[in-house]
Amino acid sequence: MDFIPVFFVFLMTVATIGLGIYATRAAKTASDFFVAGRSVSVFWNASAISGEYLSAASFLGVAGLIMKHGYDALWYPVGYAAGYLFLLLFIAGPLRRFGAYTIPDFAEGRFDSPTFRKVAVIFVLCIGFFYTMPQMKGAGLTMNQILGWPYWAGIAVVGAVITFNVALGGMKGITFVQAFQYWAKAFAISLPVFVLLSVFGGYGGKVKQNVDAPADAPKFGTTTTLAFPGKDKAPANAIAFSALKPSLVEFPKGATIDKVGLVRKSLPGEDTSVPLYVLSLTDSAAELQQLMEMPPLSSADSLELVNAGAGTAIQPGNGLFAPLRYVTDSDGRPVEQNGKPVVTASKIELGSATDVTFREGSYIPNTQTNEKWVKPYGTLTAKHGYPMLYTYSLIIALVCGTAGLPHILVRFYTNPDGRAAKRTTFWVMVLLGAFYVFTPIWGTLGRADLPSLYANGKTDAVLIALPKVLENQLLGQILAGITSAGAFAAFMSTFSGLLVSMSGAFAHDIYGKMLRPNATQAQRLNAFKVAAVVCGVISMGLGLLAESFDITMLVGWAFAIAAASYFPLLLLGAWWRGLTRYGAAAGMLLGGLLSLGAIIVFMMLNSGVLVADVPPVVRALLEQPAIWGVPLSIGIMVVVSLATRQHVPKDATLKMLRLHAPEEIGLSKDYVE
Amino acid sequence: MADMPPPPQTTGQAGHHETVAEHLSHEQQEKLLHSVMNRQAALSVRVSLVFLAIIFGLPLVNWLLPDVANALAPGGFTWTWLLLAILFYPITTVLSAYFIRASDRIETELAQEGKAMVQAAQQESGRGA
Repeated sequence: MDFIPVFFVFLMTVATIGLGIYATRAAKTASDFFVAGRSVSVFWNASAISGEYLSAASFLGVAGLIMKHGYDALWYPVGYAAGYLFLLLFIAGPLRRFGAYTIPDFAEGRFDSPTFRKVAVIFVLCIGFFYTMPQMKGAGLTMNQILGWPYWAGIAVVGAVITFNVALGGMKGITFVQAFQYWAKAFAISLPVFVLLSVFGGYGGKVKQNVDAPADAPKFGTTTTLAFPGKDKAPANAIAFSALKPSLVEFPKGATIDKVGLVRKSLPGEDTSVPLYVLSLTDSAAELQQLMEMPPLSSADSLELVNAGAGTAIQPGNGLFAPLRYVTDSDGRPVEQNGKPVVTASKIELGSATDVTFREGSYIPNTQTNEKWVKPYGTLTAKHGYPMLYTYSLIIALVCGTAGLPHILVRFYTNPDGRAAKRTTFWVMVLLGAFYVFTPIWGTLGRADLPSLYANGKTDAVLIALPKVLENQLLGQILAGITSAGAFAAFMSTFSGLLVSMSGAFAHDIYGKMLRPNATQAQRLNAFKVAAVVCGVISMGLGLLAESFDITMLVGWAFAIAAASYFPLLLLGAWWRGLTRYGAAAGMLLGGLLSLGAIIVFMMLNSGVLVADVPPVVRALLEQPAIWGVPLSIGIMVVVSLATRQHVPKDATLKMLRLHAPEEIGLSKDYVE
Repeated sequence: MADMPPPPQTTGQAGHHETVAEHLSHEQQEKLLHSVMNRQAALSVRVSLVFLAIIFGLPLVNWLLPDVANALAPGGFTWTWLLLAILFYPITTVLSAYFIRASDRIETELAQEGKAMVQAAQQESGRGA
């Protein structure tokens, strides 16, 4: 019955092409292409913005993150939605009133500086391509996981369909499609939840399971064999054994161990020996049982245990036994925390792809205890030891990053006026909230009813895998088909928004304003179409390159740059008369580039490319730079603007009036006529 | 604005806009801007402070009063889960609905004030010419 999800994805693709062609018949003028003729009603525009915003990261990633990290990851959907409140309060109305079509228009118009347009264009394209790569990678991976297509096939389908739609109909061509895709996604994330809840039990009850058994963790309900990748797919090849009970796993296919270590990061001076043994599973069940019940630190007498380390090859039918060990300091004394001795288990990284069998009732590796999952300051925010700092920085990055994403901001120009822009933003918040409120339910159900996804790092697939657990196979496949189609809608709608924003930057800012300022409407329209095809092809190429990149890493880059560059620019540009082009450019460049640099340094430290003794607080600040990046950018803007006070545009008051005065007074003027 | 190419399809309105601004003296522009921006900014800041108190206050409550945050709430959730995973969305909706209504009211008033000011300026400049 695997054809059912394929059928749903096929339907979604055909609907996207069909709606694109239908909507395109109305798109004729350049204004239609760039801003959908500014005739989009509040309802459709809000649906389209929401459809565009809910990317693969939101549709699959947020539920997966909540399943993986629990409470800590609830900040993601909250931050993604809350960004729009800031857009509503400070940016949406003024930006639309200013009448500029792109952020580069705003940058140039607000500061009378053509040079600034060039800087801003570079940022639009950087953020656009950083954000495109994870969409493409998501398309390739998901189609590979759910339908077994090769990696490039998902990219080719999404890329080709959307490039066709955008080149054909521009903004007007995709607005209707994106609006439709919002409703498809909202339906896909909510309807299966109601069915699953009615079968598996209530949401609150599933959360309460974690509260009631804080020291416990999810277990395998039946003996389960899972496929693990080799070291070429690190970190998915890692198995961190449970520190609650000794673990015993077997390898039907044989395996090599690439690296061994401890689950708990050792502090200086602590004993770092790894408790890990290979044993033959032909031994009697009674002895194995005894082994599993062994108290920590005791040695096995009756079974022949072979110490396992990096490079050990495990024969098919052999087991790997991972007992627990008390953590001891340099003098051999047990390390205590809250009056209890600290216990740890071993962690292995597999060298080659292999199947691993976990026995019924054993604890699932690679997940935390229920308490750490359900309470704040768990595995996500506390990893560097500064959970409050991490939490606040994450919130700032998500809120300010959302408010500075250029492909979302261009959408505000499709509103007829500033008031409509505010109303649209309000409805976007309602629509996004109605979507995001379901993501924690998926994460909670995933932990309770399909925890085996933790073992081989597939929590991202919870939306597609969970419905298939249903006893009614047909119903399960249909629901999985609905969520698969929703995921496909997510890649397509976000990519179409990015493609319009990047094509607009090329055709409007680079071609229309820099290269050929006197180009006719028809020439600009053609430039848009050519730019759409070129950007579409580049995006597909980047998607192929991105296979080995981490999706969250790329999204993090885009958010870090947006939060520390465009958000301060728009906030101060709209509300502070004294901002000069020098102040704005300096703050945007330094804030954006330093934030990006910090994340890249953290990635290099994390992967071992760069070796340095960095204190954990600095690590936290490098991984989540928003808490210093955003204030730094704003600070530089203020200081440099005050120092270059003579460069405040002469008509700054009039510009500010255009940003804030209601249209009825008659001070606004549109850039794209 | 000087770098803008002449739009091929001028709507007529754009030209009208330019003249409207010319009628206002610099002092009048300043005065209008002052009243427009201050009232909108005061509203935005007020709403954002409420919102920031919630979103920045919750981590603080989680840290300082973990027993309250993790106490069981109706439905099987903990209080902090209930707030962040469910109630957060309706709360922001209410906040933004309040903002929209207040902001709309301000804009209607400002539009009237602004139009009156522009008309007065137009009459004055008409008399002057």
